[in-house]
Amino acid sequence: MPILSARNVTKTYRSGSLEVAALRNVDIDVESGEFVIVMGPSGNGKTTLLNCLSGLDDIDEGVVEIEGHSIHDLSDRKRTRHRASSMGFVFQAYNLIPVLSAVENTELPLLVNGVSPKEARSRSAAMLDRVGLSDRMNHRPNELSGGEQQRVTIARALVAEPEIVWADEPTGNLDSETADSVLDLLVEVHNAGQTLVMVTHEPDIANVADRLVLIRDGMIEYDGVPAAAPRRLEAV
Amino acid sequence: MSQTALVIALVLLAPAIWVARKATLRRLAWRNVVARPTEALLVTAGTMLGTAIIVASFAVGDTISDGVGSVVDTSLGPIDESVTIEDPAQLPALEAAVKDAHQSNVDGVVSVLSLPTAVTTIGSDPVGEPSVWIAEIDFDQARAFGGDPRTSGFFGAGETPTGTEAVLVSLVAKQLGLSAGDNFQIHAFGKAETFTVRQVIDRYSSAGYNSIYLPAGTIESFQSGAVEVNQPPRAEVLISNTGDWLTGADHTEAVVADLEIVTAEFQEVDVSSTKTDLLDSAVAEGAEFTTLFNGIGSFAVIAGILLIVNLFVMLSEERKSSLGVMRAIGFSRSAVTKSFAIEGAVYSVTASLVGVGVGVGVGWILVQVLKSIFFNENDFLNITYAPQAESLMLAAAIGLGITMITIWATALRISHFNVIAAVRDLPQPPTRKGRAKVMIASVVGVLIGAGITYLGLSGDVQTAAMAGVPVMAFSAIPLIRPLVGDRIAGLVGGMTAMAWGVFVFNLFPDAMRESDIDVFVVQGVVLVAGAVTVSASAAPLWNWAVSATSKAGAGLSTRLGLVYPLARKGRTGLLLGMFSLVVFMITFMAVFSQILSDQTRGLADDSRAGYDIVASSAAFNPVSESQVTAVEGVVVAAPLTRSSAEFEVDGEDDPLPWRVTGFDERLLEFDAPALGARLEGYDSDESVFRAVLGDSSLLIVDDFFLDNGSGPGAKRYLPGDIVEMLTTSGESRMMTVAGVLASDFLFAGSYAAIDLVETTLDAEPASGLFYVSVDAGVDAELVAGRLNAELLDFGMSAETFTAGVEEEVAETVAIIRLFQGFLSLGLLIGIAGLAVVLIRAVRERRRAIGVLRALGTQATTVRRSFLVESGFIAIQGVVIGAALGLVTAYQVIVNSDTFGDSGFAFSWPWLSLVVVVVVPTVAALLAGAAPAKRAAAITPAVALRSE
Repeated sequence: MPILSARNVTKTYRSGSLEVAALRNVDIDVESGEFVIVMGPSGNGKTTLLNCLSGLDDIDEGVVEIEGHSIHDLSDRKRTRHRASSMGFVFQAYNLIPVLSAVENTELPLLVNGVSPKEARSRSAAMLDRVGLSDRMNHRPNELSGGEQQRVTIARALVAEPEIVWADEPTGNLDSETADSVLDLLVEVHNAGQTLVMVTHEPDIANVADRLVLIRDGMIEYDGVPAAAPRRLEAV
Repeated sequence: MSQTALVIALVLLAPAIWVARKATLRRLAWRNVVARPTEALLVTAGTMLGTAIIVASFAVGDTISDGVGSVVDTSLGPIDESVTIEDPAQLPALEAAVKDAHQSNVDGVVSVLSLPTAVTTIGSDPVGEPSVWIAEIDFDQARAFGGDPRTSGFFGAGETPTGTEAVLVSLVAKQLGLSAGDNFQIHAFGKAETFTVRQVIDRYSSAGYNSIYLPAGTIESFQSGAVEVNQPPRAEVLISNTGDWLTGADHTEAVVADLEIVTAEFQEVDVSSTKTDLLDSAVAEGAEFTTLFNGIGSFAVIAGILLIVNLFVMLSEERKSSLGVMRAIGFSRSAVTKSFAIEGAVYSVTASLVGVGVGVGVGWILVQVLKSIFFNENDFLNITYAPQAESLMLAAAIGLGITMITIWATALRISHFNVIAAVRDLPQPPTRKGRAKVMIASVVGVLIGAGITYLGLSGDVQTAAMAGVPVMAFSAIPLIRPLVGDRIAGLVGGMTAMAWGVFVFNLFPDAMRESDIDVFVVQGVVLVAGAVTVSASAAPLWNWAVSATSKAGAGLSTRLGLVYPLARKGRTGLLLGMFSLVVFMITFMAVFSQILSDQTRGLADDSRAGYDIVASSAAFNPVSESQVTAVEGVVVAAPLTRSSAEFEVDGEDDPLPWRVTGFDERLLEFDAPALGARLEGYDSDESVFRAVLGDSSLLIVDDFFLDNGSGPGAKRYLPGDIVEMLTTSGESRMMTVAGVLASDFLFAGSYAAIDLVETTLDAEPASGLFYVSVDAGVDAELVAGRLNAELLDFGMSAETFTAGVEEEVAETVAIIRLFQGFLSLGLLIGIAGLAVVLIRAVRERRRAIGVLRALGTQATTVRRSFLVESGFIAIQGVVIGAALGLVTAYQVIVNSDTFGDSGFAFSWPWLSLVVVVVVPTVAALLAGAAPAKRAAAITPAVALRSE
């Protein structure tokens, strides 16, 4: 049974009289332990898909079910609680809280879930150690390199042991070497059983995933194993 | 001064206007303004508040100063000088001599005979005024006096009164409820005569010099056959100088010199510079109040300035990234600076203009409160709200100037940022050159602080003495930082400044003796700056607090609420400073208000010598002891005589007049007035008073004896001190201070034997002042009322000692309340500023809030975190301000030279403290509510998309 099932998801952005259809009748399932890559040209709905599936954003039509619950029918409080307990996020721009140190940023999801501060600190330290930042724990984001910041973001996304991690172009701001190391980290995480849905522009990355979803003009054009994807569509 | 300030403000503004002609820069700046109208409005509103409070402060100062001029309008008009003569019979000859002198600077001469009397209405429920000046003057001459009949005050007053006619000036008519056709009685020299109001004229110009105008010969008829004439009529020739009412006084010195010659042939004449004397006195009174008001008000003004600085520092932080991009694509430093300056100038000019309007409104409210407290229409100083354009211009220029200085400084700072760091919104990497600059600035700061300290302590410049060591301490922080670390350096610097602020009065009592209000303003700034520095350095304390609250379940919202203010020390410091400064002064004043209120009973007991009532009748119609004791309920009446002597004071060119009260054995019937200090060898206060009765070289003085208005710190006389007293005949008598009164709320001034006062100071015997005791079990208030009613004809004014002290205390407390009210505006600025800062913080942290929400943080947690943040700043500010206010007040009252042995005891102003703590905290939470709600409503996906 998929841990996420989306049907007929439609999302339109409106600005004054202007309407842009970001997602159109999208159907998608995500199985537990899957590594799904979402690719597509810029402005074609990748990030919107991720936001809508994770419940960060509302949808206009359709349904997204996680563990049998329609996530968009939940109250904000319940949806938020579900996000805290079941999801982790990795953003392209890192989005660390600038006034908190690496370990303080990492422990946030645990504190949100009601874990005691002492345990949260200990688990966060362990997670930072796992991503290779044990010596940078007390540094603030502006004292870390881009790669280090992204590692902190990954640590933050994983520390609460979520069922699914959403990653929105996690290597987009990094040089190729750093991007490779971050990708290796994500693969390692996936290999440990973590369900991962990742938006990316990098065709090479698709090869490390179980499944590739290509999206264009808000619609899914391909959903299958990366190796079988049409080359034309993959080269976005 | 206003022109200078305006020029400076315009000089600061001009480059921004000048560069605005460059279309690119102008467009960039303007787009920033209009792109976020709410943000622009908030910056403008905050800056406007800062300017408004400066305007309000100046407008009140103007009004007080203008009140000084009102004395000319209501009581003098063209009267510039007067020549009084002891013998009224010589008045016509004196007038003729002055007229015949044909002085070139004089355009009017008129004679007037006047007398203070008691006036009562007639009927079943008569009312009276104990001291009303009646006068005889020729109305035609009075109209011609000064050259313009329409401004003489007698224009339309008709002919000189005849028969039983009386012309009343509006004030006395209002006080007695009299109008044309009403009858009333005048009492003087034991006689009562009935008159009829013919007309009521305005209290204006020379007509306001007296209160009731009567037919010629009235005063003489009162005098004739009188048993006792304690106060002779005042016979005087009034002189008007050429020029208008104010510029005419410029000739006074020359006219007085001529008059001295002209009147030399007459016996017992006295030439007075009436207008300049009155104006000088009014100016001194007005200036004293204005100085005090501006001094205390400056705390609110400083809060306004801190808000302005805070807002523009925030704005510059927000613009840092886009200005960095400008630099990256090739704009010069100068262009970046100017672009920000143009934007700032838009806010600044708008805020200054609106701020003037709002400030004028706030000033009006303050003046209405002020008037209701202690100015009324028969006061010497009459005030009408009168902000001056010049002051408003100055206040606007100050607001504009401060804003533009902040803008230029922050713009320059940004323009020197590392471009990449600015674009990526990273902190500036430290450079060797930068560090060297800081070190050099620190050393220079320490040296300047040392110089200021030396100047202050050696030259008795108290503000410099107060500021010097703190300047050294703060400047030394970067120097000692490499040795002891950030935290310890901050703690040492801050605590040194605080310790100096609190203890400098004890360490250097002589140098700090004559501290004025500006010293206390500097003290407030020093203490608050020290406390804020200590707070910013006490991170472990706050971390512990966070842990403790986390354990207690407050958790994430507390942590998130504290993390930003703790991380942004500069901004938090400015906000804390705003709160703390104002709360400091409000608390400090609350302590004094509380002490005065608490000690009313004690102060009355100190003065009353076991008596219950102080009763005084008019000198021209004094009551006798037997008349007082005849009133039901009165047991004993101790007569006293009040006079005035001149005393030589070190450092003063002219001798200072001071009140001397003569007493005899009867004052000591029950007890003696309490002494705070007495000459060695006397075992009781009563024994000192008895010694004074037996030794005409002894004097008992009050605790502010010969304080000429310099306030706390003036020379204080102690038992054993010798003071030179000049008698009426000019004889010098060396008097030894035998005791110092514990308090003197009834203004006895000093006590000497009654014989000495009557024989050497020309005091008339039986001047009608009595301390009265009442039958046991009888209500003293009731007896005081009886005395007033039964002896109304004698201008009797009787009240219990307690009521007298309460009245005095009530006025002082009311003034303190007004000051606290004005300071509350500073608090309002602090709260509004906090709201503005939080609203901007929501905008600034939009993305971070989105992340938190994405990570599963509930909206309520985000909302609570903003409330925690506003509460943290407000509570910390309130606690710092209140604690410093209490410590400083305690220090001043218990240990200082000024109050240490004054008999005042420190008293906790519990109610005020509750108000000071609760109101700003609740207000700050309310102020934080809207931004908090806004933050909680942010949709994660939208926030994450934002820049």
